[in-house]
Amino acid sequence: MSNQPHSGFRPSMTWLHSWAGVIICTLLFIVCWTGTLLVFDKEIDRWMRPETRIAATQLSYSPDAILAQIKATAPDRPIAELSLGQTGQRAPFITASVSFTDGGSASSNLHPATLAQLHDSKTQAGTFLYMLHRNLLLPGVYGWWLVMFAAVAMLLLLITGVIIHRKIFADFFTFRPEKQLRRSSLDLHNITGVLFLPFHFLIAFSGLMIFSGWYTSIPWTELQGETSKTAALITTADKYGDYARDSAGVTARSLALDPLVKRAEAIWTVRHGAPAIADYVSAYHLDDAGGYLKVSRYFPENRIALNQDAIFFDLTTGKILADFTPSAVRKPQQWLAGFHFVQYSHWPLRWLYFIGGLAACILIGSGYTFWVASRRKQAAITQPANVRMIELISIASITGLIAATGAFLIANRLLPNAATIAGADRAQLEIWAFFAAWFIALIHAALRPGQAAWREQCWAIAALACAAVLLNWISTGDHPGAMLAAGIWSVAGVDLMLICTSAIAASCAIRLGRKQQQQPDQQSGSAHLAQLEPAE
Amino acid sequence: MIPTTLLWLLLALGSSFGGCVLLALAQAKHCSLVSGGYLAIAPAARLKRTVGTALLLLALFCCISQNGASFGLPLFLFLLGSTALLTALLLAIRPYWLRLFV
Repeated sequence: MSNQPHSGFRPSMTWLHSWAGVIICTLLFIVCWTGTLLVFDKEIDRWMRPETRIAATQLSYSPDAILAQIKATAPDRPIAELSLGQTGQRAPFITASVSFTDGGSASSNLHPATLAQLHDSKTQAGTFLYMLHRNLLLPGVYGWWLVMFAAVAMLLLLITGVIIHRKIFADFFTFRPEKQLRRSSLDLHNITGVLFLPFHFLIAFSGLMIFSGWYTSIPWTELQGETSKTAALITTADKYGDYARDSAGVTARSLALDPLVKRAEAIWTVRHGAPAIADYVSAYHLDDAGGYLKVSRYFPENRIALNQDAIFFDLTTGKILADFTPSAVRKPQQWLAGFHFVQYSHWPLRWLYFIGGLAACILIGSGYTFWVASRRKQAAITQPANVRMIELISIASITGLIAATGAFLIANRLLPNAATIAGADRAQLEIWAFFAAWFIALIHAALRPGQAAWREQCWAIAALACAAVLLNWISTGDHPGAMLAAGIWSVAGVDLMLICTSAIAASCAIRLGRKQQQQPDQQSGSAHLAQLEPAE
Repeated sequence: MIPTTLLWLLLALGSSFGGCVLLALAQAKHCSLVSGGYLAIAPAARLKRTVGTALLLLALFCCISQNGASFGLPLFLFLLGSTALLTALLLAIRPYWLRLFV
């Protein structure tokens, strides 16, 4: 393959697909891998926070009872904001956070039946994976833009991939694992790309469209300034249904919260023609004349599109201050956002998302492997450093990232909750463990020859996944059998997936070892390197 | 007692898988693979394509009738991708398991 664009449309697209893919692959793999895990974000959360492993027996609660509990423990501290949330069977506990007018704040998870405070595990759990997926943990807006760039690049790669694939229908079911690495990795790249094309396209496009407000607001603010009414309308959160007002500074007794929440749910039930339950309840400036209550419902159980239902009540009079219903224009965006967030209760579709996400990871990994395998022989003569560099980046990006995720889970089960090192608490130490493992994987990939590095890192993944299950059992007594018997499928599911991961990684390592013994020169690939042929 | 929703889902899964296998076996190279090289051409290829397509349409109907268009369409598309991948993997690793369909 030449480094220059070829003449003609298809060769140009081939060149673009190949080089754009190599450049963006690591970033795309991070986003796809974390996104795949986030399909089961709440399940991973519950695995990493053992105190939340409670059976989903009660899915309704009284905000007034929680407020009374807070007032009993802090009677003289006026509440500036109280936020409560419960998002259904996948996370049956109540999330509560309170901030006081004196600046203090507290947050905790509560048992839905007893309202007892659950033990507070110091972990970011799924939130860490979410932040990595959303903005790569980078400060400011740079991470957001990079992830959006990755989504655009994925769309570009999908479109160019379809253009350069010469035999889409003829090779629809073709996978030849027994062929040499170059051929088999291209087959795998083609089938995962073609068979999951609708999923990959929709997930990249929906990820991009979640932030459509950004793209539409930027030109307006830059061209017309913040004073423009149009710009203000677009840039403020009005279109998301937000309402806010300051504290009046005058004491006034707030109404009970429960009847207002029930009223909001009754309004939605009539409006949508189906029973509606609020996800989040937020009370502001309690016992103040400016007090108000926000009752919202974002994640529906029975459809993909987000709701964005939000009703604001005056806490002293009970009058509705704002009742947000999104405009028809926002409905496609709501569907795309709902499609991407996967918060609905449809388990078959959730599992298919997971399979589609894994297919995206395989698509990226096989693309990397094909690129390296296609160039290895020529690179031995011309540019060995370049291909070696891409190879070690690909190993660290793929098996390294998976192993780092295993280290993150192990750190969670191994470190005591009160652990601190150099001022970092356990939540930070878990993240350090993740990045340390990833860095070690990079060093290992640099020190070991290609196939040996792949194989050894596969063994590392197998060992880490197995160790995570055992450590969970030892530290909590919750082995998969016990969790299944207790009806807590989320924790058992994570354990069983870890066991599957361990088995698959070990099987890959054994196969790689066998191949290395049988055909030491297998990776040298084809001598025909001038053209990248997507399908022969 | 198996819930009706699960039955519809299993029917969608089965018909989608059956449809993918028949469409694959309408191609001579896969037919040859499954028959162990005995068949050089795919017998009744047109019939397999027709029945395969009908099975995929049945899967689409099962998905939409039970889940509505909002869930049903993505469910069908991703189910199709997954069962097609399963077909490709079976053809690659255990092709003789599909002899029944030849």
